[in-house]
Amino acid sequence: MIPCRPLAVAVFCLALTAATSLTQCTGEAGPAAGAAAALQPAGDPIRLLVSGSLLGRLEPCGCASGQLGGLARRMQHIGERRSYDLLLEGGNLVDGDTELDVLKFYTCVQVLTGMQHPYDVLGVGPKDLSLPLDEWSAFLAGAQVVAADLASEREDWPARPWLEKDVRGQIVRVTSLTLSLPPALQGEAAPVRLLPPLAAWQRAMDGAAATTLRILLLHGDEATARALVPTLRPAPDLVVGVDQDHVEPTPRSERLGDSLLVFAGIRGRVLLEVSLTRTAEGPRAACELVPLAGSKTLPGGGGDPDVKAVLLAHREQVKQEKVLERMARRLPAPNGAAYVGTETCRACHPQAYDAWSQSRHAKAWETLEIAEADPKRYGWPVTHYPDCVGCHVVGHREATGFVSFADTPQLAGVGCERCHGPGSDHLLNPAGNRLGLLGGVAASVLCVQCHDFEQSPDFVYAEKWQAIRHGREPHQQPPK
Amino acid sequence: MRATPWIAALLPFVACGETPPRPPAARPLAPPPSLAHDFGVIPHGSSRQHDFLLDLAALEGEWVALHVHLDCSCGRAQLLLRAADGQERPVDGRPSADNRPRPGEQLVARIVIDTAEREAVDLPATTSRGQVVLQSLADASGRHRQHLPLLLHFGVDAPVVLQPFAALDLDRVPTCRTGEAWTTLRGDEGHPQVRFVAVETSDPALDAVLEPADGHTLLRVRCRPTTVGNHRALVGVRTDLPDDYTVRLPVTWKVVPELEALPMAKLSFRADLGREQTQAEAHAQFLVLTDHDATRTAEFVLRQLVDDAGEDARAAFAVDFAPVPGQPRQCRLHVRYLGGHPDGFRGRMVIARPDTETPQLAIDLVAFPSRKP
Repeated sequence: MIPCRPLAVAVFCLALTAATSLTQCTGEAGPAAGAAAALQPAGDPIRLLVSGSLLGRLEPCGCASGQLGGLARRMQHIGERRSYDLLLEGGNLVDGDTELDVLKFYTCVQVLTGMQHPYDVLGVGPKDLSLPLDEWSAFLAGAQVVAADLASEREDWPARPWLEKDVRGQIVRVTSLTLSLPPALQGEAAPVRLLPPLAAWQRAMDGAAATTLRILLLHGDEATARALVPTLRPAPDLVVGVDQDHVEPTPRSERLGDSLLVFAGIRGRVLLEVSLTRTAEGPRAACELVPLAGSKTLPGGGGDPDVKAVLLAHREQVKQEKVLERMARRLPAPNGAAYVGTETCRACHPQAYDAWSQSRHAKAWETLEIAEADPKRYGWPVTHYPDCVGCHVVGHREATGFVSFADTPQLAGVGCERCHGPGSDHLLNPAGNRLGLLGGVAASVLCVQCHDFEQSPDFVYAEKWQAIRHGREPHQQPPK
Repeated sequence: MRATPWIAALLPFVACGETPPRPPAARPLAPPPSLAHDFGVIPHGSSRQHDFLLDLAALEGEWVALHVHLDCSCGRAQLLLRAADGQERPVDGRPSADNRPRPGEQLVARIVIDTAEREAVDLPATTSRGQVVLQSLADASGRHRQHLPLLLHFGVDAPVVLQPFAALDLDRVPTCRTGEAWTTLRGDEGHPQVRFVAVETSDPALDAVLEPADGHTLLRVRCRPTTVGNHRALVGVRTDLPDDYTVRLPVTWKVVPELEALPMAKLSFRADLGREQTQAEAHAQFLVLTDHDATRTAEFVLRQLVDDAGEDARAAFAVDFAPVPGQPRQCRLHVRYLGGHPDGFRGRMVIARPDTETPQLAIDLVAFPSRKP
């Protein structure tokens, strides 16, 4: 349970009684679904806004200019349009199971279900289920959650097999298939069971009229989607793939058997607008990408002010509850040794140290502090937010790694050990415990842990290496 | 499959799906020059186009291009097949042989950088990325797609300088007030004599005026609140620059009711509902109420507290209002459970001002029983 805190407790399980026009799957059966898709009279297409795999990106991190996405821009876009018939979020709202992920999940649900434009359907992703089940269930109580292939005996289980909405006389039924469970929920005694996908789909379509538009939010990779979707009967009209290999949504739907397949993209950077209808030739969809770009000059890039307030409260809560410190030192150090700090490396590696000290890596912590002090850039405690800190220090979350600037100032900044690993063993026996790159991976792979497509969009390793170039010291040169 | 040299060079960038990981190159190569293009510095308001000619014949097997992703929000991409006579047909995104170039056709990735919708601010030379998504015709699963990286170099030059904002956000505008924001316009060093000759808005709820000032022009925008919710409009400021260059500023605002509960009109908490809560237990169960009407003092009373069935439930809760220091228009609404609903409570409160029935503010109230350990 999240400890008591102002406002957070006050809006606990916020979506519980939200008014909705969605009906629950409680036996309001229509005529049995026919084997073949029934035709619909020509009518307005149903306008959907689709997203998935937010992966905890409540806001763009701000490392690079022009970053897309964020819940504040998303909800502002929805508020401005006012014309979507269905707002669908596929699931995987967070990317882990830490204290930070719990708070992020809570904040996401607060924004997506409890504000002016509540989402019509939330799917469930395996990553969501990695969170403590009590918290996950409590936050979603009363929200419009679907998961046809998940079953539980828990009284507070929030997911239903399907949800329906009447859109101008057209019934639309939406369901979700999670397809896998996190390790903690696997096994006979687990409180959640995973049903076979075909049976789950049948369960979700039970009692649906032949004229009902059928939408499936589908987790798993693309190959799974391609294998599974053609076997589903009755065929879904639209399948939304929530696959993390698809960084952006697909700009066109693809026909797969009698269904249309689109992918939702990740991190909520670009949303997918779909106009869906069923014709004599089967379902048809027109897709449009909605990149959530921000302003270059407005503080925070713009966005819905109420959502921004909720996000700010989240940031402040993370600071107040010392989540950064609580998350520290939970994981083993990469090579079993202890971090010693860059200054220690200097004695034997003066040339590398000089190169490093002139690089921006050496000032990485200072960069955060400057950004935090600039109200036009942030206005919130960046130096206490784990997602930000993780790329500006050495070894946060790892044994002997960074805890906070007050506790471990020697590990602030991107020092030697960020790439080469903890150095205590090397210090004791340099020849016997040589340090390479962490995990033995190529430098380019290591760099993109932080310099990814979103945080460093112009990152090209071959160019950026020149800015931090360093090599062996004279005493390290191999003998001629 | 034997990869051709250039696709092999690209693999470190493009691994996707369940393709087995390949050993990364010691130093990945930059994308081939043919897949990078410098659009130069684009005058704001105009667009530039470049056609990348893609030769997939160099790849072993039969590949089709499905679509193009661009990182840049002002970029548009289209895949086309161009015949020798210049006729073009679009690629429809299916992994189908129909989307292979026919004899004499060339595959073209047409990239347009359109700055018209961008804020009118200079953008120093920058690099944006894109990807052409390819799929082998032999791969019905789509599991082995390849992504050809594109590098787009460009900058943007706006002839005017907008300070401090190139977009305006009126933030939250209560229904009982008008919203206002301003920014300044002047020509940049290349256009010091530019004049701003007229202004118009795309929303009748929005008024915009230009006021001459020392060395610049002040643009003042006011909005009259209409429907509660988010709004967006464009303000266009015409200049005397060639081609009738018009500065377009997006304006956003959110109309909110005059009585508000923050962060939202809902208060939920979990407690032992078998007994009365202590003051300490209930200290965090509050919302912040705001009365935006500055013509009156911010005072609130509870008009109604009912359960979902409409039955009066005032006896089950103590509801108090406390001022917020330094915020004369706000107060805190505290709720403490007194008893009578051991299995949980769902209902709502109606808050109003003491002297009038309207406006009213409805707040959902939910109490969950504590879980048994």
